[in-house]
Amino acid sequence: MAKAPPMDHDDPVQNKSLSVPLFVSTLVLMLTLVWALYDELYAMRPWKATQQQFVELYQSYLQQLRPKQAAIEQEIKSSVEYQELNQKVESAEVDAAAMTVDIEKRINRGVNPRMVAVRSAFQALRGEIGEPTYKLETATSAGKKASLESDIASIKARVVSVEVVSDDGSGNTETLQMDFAQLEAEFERLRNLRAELQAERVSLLGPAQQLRAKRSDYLKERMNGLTAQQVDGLIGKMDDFVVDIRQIHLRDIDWVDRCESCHLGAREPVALTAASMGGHEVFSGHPSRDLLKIHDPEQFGCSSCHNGNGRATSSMVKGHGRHKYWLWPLYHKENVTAGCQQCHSKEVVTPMAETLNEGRELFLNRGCWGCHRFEGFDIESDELTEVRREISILAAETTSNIKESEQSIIMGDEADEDDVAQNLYDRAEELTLRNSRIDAQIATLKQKERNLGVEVKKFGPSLREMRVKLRKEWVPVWLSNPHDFRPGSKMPVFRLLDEEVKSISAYLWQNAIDGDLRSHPLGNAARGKELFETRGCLGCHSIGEGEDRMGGTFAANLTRIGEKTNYNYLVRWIHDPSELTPDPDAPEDEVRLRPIMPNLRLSVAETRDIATYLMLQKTDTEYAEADYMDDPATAAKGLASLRHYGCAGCHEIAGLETEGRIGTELTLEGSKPLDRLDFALFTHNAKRGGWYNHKGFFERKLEDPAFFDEGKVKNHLEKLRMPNFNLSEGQVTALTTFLLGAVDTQFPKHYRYEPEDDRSFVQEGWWIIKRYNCNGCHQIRPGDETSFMAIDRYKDPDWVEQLPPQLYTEGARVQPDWLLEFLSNPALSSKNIHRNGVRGYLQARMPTFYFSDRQVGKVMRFFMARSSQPLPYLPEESQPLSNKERLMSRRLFSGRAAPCLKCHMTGDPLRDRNASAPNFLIASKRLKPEWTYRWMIEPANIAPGTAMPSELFRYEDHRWIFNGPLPAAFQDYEEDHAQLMVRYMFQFTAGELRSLLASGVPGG
Amino acid sequence: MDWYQLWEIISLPDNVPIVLLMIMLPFYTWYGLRQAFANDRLIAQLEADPEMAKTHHRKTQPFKKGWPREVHVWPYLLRIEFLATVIVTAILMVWSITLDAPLEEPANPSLTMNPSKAPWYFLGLQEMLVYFDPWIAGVVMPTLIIVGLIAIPYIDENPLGNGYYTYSQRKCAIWTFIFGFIVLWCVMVVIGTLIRGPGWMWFWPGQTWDHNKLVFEVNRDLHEFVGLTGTWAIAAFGTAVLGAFVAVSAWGTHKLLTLTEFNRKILDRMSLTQYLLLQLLMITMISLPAKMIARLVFRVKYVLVTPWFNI
Repeated sequence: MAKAPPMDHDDPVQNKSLSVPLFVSTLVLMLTLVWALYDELYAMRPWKATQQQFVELYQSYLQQLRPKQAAIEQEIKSSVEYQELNQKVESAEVDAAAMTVDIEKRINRGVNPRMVAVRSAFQALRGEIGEPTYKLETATSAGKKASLESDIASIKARVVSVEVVSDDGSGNTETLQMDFAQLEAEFERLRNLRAELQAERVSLLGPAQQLRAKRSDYLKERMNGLTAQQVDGLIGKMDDFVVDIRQIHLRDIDWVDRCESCHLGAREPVALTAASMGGHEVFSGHPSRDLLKIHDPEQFGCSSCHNGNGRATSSMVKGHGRHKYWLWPLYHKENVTAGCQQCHSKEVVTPMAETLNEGRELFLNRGCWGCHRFEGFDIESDELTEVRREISILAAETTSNIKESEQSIIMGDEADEDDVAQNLYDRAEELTLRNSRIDAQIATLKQKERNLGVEVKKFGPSLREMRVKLRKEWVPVWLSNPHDFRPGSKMPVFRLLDEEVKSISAYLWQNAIDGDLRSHPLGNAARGKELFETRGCLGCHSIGEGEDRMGGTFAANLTRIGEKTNYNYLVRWIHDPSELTPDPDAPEDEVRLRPIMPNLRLSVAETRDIATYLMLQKTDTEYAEADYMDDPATAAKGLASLRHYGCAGCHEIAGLETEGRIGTELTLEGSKPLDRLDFALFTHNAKRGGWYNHKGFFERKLEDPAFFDEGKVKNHLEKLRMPNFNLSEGQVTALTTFLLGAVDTQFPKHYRYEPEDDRSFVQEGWWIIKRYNCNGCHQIRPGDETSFMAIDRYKDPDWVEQLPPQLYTEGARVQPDWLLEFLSNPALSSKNIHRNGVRGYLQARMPTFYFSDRQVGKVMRFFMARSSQPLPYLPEESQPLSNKERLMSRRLFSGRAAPCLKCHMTGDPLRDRNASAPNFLIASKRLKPEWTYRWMIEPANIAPGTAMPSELFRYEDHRWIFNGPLPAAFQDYEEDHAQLMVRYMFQFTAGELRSLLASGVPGG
Repeated sequence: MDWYQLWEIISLPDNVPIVLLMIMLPFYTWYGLRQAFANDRLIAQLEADPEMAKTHHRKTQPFKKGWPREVHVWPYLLRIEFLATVIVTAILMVWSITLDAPLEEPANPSLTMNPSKAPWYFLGLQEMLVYFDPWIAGVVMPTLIIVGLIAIPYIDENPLGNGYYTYSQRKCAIWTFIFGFIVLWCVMVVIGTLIRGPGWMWFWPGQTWDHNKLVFEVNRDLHEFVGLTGTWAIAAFGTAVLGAFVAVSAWGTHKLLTLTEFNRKILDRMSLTQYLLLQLLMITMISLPAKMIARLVFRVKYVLVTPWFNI
């Protein structure tokens, strides 16, 4: 190097010290490192602190709980019953110990040590044999094999001596001289001996074991919570608590949920509430243990049902997925049942999902499916389209086959050579054969089509009947705002312009069928009112407004029915809703849809009374003249409007038979990308207000369907068309829940509830039950409230027996074939139809529904499946009664202690005035003997509140005997009395009934 | 004024670098230029005194008598660089702790996000797509940019300014850089990040990014203004206009390059190839703002329209 330059110590580049900035910046760097560590260990893992908090709170809660539970336990244990049990257990244990002491000794001192000794000698030999055996298996030369075989034989023949104790437990020793085979045999013998001894011991210990189980059951039943020992176990578990991620991993779909890293109390055996955990909601237990039993979180995870981001652990917001980038935000509490829909999408009723069920029911019974397709709803019209398409394809094939076959025959006739002609004839024959097969297929499809023709029903009434049905001036008034005329009507409010109201009314009026109605004299209004209120109309319809309203919400409120319709039509409609005005212009093959309203099989006189009463239901509102409804020019404009508003979605309208649905399909609406939901001018509002999500959109749209038009400049036809249903807040929540759940599920088929066994019958059946409102009159599930139960009259104890029967156990009660017959014809008679086939004493009448055979079958299978009844049902032949038995049962049957015929119908109108139970004559066809037996023994278990008396029989000597003064003939009768009565009932004949009545049985 | 929207845009982790860029870029440009001017004064002082010019060649600090002419990299440079490393590391640590990566929602192939934006460093390219045919903006221009950057050392014949900041000795290079990088590239990145909203529409800062916003803009090809028809006539017209533009900008560039005596000296040292390459790159660079103005102000879509490509 050249000589160094002279140094000047003032040169800042060389002399300025960087120590301070270096020190400071390094310090800052170190601090950021510390910060990073803190962030990594705590800030990004907030669940650590949460878990520590949980342990503290839970432990202190358990500490409080322990003495309470201990006191309860102590109290139970000091009860006489428990003490008794305890004593029994203890004495049984002492007995058992005495009996098993010899066995124990023999096992422990004899068999076990002997086995150990034999086994070790045996295993040593076996090991030694193993090596040459392997060599033998892999040896290639015959000579080698032969030498190895002889080696093995010599080992097997070697006799070894083993020092053993004798197997009788006496402790004596002996020396065995045994070869390999003998050792093996001895070992086997000992093993069997031990198993025998152990089995003997278990059987001796059995009684004590059973008593112990009984004692612990006794404690468990009365404890209502954990025992002190169990609480101690939990406290111990908390002492050993390790702060760590708690994760559920569903391997088959690679689903990960870490929710329980914070929600530690969710599955604790103690049902924790926020209050018991210091007000921390995060630690409360899952509110529905029953639900978790069916959906074990280990198999289903958490976020699979609840949504949210199951993997996120860095903050509550992220874990709950309430973040703009997470597509599946946690369902809010009020919508929590939305999670059920994704797997239970085939159902209309899902147990334990009440809000969701309400939403589905609204979707079904507010006619949403008239405009919006939703898979599963109105499945019949989809099926019908499909069946018709198939039929037309097959029919076309038939025609072409016929043509080709004719052609072949002609060509065959003209052919020059025999074998060519033969081929052509064969071809013709083959085609004819094929056609016969196709014909059979078509016949099957036609049958299905006929069924579907009955099943397809529009949501609203047919408007082709309006000319004979409605008062002309009323139509425009109704159209402009149905809810003004009838608050809460299922017809929603469309935002129609005046001229639209006019043109729609005119079109409908002029295109409705004109016809003559038979004219009827007026009936008795007072009797009509009584009939209206008791025959069953109120199961679906309501009358009166506000406080005075009574009846069901399924069908129209009839408070002002007198203003809109005419008397003669009303008579015809009530008498037979399927009767239609003949249309002279209709094409021959026209299919007209049937109404939902069933036929109550009323006599004409009854019908007139009811119609007369209904015609009085009106106010004195003035209706303006509506001459424009006859103006063809006005009507011409109506068709476009009807099409625009999708009226044909719910109503049958002439000229719009082939109209499709106008709304968007909603089957997967819940997983529609948010960008595709048009928040219009509210987008920013929604984003900043926290409702830019599906829930926010659905709620606002349902509450006010025109909401998103606000502020938009549109001409009338561009505006949103969805009408206003004036839904209540609860209804909006229910429908929102349903729509939120309508998602494209990420779960494979085995997660979804799509059973193929009997449970699918239950799923199918519910659709019909809900569509036809069976539960307006009948309680299907325990706890159901029917429309009848809310009517004051039926709260009177005298009227309780007039409630339509509960159907909780219908499937177990009745025979399937009978149920099919009954559903097709509830009168159970082709002549005498103005009656109930089973319960003639009921004022309310089981109506005839316009069901197809298929639907009748579905309803029957629904009830059978709900009661777990196997199909087909094979009735057991009931053992014929001996003469003595017949006499005995007759005595019992008509005795004063059990006057069966006092309540059960006999067919004699005079006697039946006070009847409240069915006739015995139909029992053998209708009932199942097993159910009848159970019913007689304890009817209140099957139908709480029934008039059938309880405790008719008492249990004694392993059989049920009559609980009253026994006729003398029973003295030496050893059989079950209830069973005898069942047999008597199932062999009950009209002759028997006549002779009983003739002999003057009590209760008449 | 929609402050919420403004905050949402500038606080997005994706956009933070751009916000920083908007502050840092002017600052460092100013800082660098300040040093350059200081050095220029020093150079002037040194060159005025031949004695000092011989002994004092360090041009980065005001000089004092007795200071060494040169200092070693180690430790004098490296210790400063080490200090800078420590500071930058600390900043990056804080940044990565406080701002998480913006991963957004799972991708949905059937749904394009709106606005859909490239990573910030590509937003300049994306913005160019507004003004040019995708073939030009997406392929030709980026290639030219890269080729041009590679070619700079072979075009630049100016031996001065190595290792020290200077303005007076590198005016041409500095202005080209300021214009080409800061004005064109960085401004386009800023526009792409902060200005372009849904539908790639122009939203001034503080305007709400409204998906419903509608604009009515009709962009027309230049030949439509004169009403030409026929492929050949249109192509010929476009070529003529383009030729005129090339001629004018070549002339302007040449004027600028020969503005001072010093520049003329540099130019003399350049070969014809170097000169032509320089012109090509300069004209291409100028064409970008020219087209931007034509597009934004005069609503011109394309100048040259051919069946194969458009400019």
